[in-house]
Amino acid sequence: MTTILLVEDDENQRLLYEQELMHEGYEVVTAPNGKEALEKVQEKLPDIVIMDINMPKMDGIEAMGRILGKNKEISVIINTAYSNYKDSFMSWAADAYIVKTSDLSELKEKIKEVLAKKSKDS
Amino acid sequence: MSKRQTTYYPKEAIGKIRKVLNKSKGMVLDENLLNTVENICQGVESNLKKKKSETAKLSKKSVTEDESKTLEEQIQEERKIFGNIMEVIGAGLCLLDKDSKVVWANDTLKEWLDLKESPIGSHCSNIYHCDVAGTDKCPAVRVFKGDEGHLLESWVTTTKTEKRMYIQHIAMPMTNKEGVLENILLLTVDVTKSEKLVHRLLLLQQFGEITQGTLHLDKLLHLILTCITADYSFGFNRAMLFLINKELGVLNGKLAVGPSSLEEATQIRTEMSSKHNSLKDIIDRLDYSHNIDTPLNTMTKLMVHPLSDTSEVVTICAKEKKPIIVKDAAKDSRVTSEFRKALGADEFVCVPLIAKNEAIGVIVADNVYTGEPISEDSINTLAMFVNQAALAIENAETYKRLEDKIDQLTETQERLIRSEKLAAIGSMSSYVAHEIRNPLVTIGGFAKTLSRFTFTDSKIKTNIDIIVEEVKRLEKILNNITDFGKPSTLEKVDTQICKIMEDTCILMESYFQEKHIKLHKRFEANIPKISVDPAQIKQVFLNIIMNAVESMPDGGDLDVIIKSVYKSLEIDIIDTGKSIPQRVLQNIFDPFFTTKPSGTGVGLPVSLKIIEDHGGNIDVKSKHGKGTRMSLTLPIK
Repeated sequence: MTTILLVEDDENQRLLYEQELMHEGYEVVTAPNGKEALEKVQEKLPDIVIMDINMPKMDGIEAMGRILGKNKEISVIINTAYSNYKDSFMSWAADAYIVKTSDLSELKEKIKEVLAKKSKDS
Repeated sequence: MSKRQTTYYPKEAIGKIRKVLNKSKGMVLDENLLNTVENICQGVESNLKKKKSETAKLSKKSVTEDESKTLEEQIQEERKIFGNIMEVIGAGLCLLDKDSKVVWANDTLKEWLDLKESPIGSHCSNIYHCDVAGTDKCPAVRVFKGDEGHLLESWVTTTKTEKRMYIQHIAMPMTNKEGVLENILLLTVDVTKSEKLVHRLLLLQQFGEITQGTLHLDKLLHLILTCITADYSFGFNRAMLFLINKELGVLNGKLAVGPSSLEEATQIRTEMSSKHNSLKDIIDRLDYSHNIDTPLNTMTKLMVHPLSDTSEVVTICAKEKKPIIVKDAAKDSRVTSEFRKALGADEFVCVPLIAKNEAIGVIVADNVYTGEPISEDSINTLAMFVNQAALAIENAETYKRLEDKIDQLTETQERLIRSEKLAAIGSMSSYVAHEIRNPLVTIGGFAKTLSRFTFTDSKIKTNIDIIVEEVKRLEKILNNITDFGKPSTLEKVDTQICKIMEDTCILMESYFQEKHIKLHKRFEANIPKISVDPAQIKQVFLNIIMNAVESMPDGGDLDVIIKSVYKSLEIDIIDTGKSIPQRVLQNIFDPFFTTKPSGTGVGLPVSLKIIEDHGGNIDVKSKHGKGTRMSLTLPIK
């Protein structure tokens, strides 16, 4: 079963994504900030990390850097309200960049794409 | 009696005239005239002395009848000579009696005053047409009252030879043998030349004063040429002004003043002659638009001579910094046939405008209508005047440059303030937008998950759909706003603007049809490719065309014009819709300003920002009932 680590500081949004992704048939682990996300990765290696950027304690970019520094094979999808990080070279390391909308179909599509690419590569 | 007069008058008269002329030496009389009169007087005097002594000798002897007859003849001869002198003296002479009635007048006076009948017996006021007759101002009255010397009075008159003159009247007392004042001799002299000279000097002084306060270049040029052409200053028929454009290295025709035909010239002269205008009057009455449309002015403005061209009289003049008089243009190698044909005058003068030892232009003046020869003297004064004019032009140009600089600075400042404002609004709106986006995602997302459930009440489903739709709408607005706050990076490629416009129009085609809008495209041939971000420019075209269409809910015409103007492309989008009211017009580029019920107010500010990022500009003109014209300019390089 595919495991997704969802890093999101907004509690309600975390709940929303968790419900939706579980509904899609994924196993979902959540973390409210970058620091906890690192801990969760150590506990259990996820297939995909869905990462918010603006978060307290440790932001998404830094957390992503640290996760990828240890495990290159983890895929990261950046899911943020800001479109302007798209041009930042740090976010180039991510597999996808999504601007948050209430319509989650784009996110779901991207997850499938990333997974497909992953299975193809391995 | 008559015998006494012949011997008495010439001598007395000559003495008087000489006295007057001597006194007048300090005045502005023609030197030549003075000398001629002096010579004539001497001749007559010596002749008279001779005759007198002969007569005396003869009277001592026993005179035979034959001798007295010869004497009589001689005296007659003498009278004739005297009469001739009176005619050739070059001055008007008139003898008045105590009642100011004319006793005698010479032909010169009759001619000058345009007298058709013999003036003898008439009251002086009838022939001089003066309004001081009988008053204390009348020179004759003053002399009768015993006031010492003469009194001058002058005015302008026209004679049948159509020569305009400025004349001066001098009254002299004439006493009889007993020393009793019996008559007045009125001497009338032509002082046109000196008067013109005085007037010119006055003009120079006035011009200096006025130009100190005139910094408007166009006004100044007009003023200069008006001075040159004004009668009683320089009185040239026409004057043209060329200025050097240093950047392009050419001598450019700027302005011409003067009538376009002989009829017009005569008319102006008649109008002007009735008033003795001071420069101040001329300036106050100067109508700057009056001379704009004359053929002469249009022709002058089209004249461009490269400074490197040394075969043209005007460029030679600018180069040598010396006035050039052309007496016969057809035979003068310095005048090209082209210039001669354009000017249409054989004799003309070119005077360089020199400021700070550098030629800044050339003035060309001629007398094409009156054919009056241009004298060395008038050129000298003209050169003096033109020097002063050049300084004034230089001043005005410097002032204009300063003004332009200040305008530029003000514009830059305004732009800075606006972009500063935009940046502030941008960062604030972007902050607000993101803060709103997060809860919106949650609301919309959960509402959507709800729609997966089945509800017994169909109302619940409808209500959920409404929430989802409304959230979507809000998100769209947020996207617009965040776009605005986003600093854009241009991805410039060489692009054919016409192609982008074409694509945009195709995109809008169905919309045009729906709204009954007729599209008229006019793209100039050979529009060069320019370096722009095609996606962003397309966004701008879409925004502006969309606005245009929205202003025509009942249909209309949409003109889209692309042309190249100097170093930039101009894209005009013109609609025939509801115009933009003036108070709205000044706000349309302010972010979040909108008059549309569902607008976000970012379309135009974003468009302007994009165009400005490309180094261009947007200009809006809106006329009530005529629609709106949006003019976009984009630099070619």
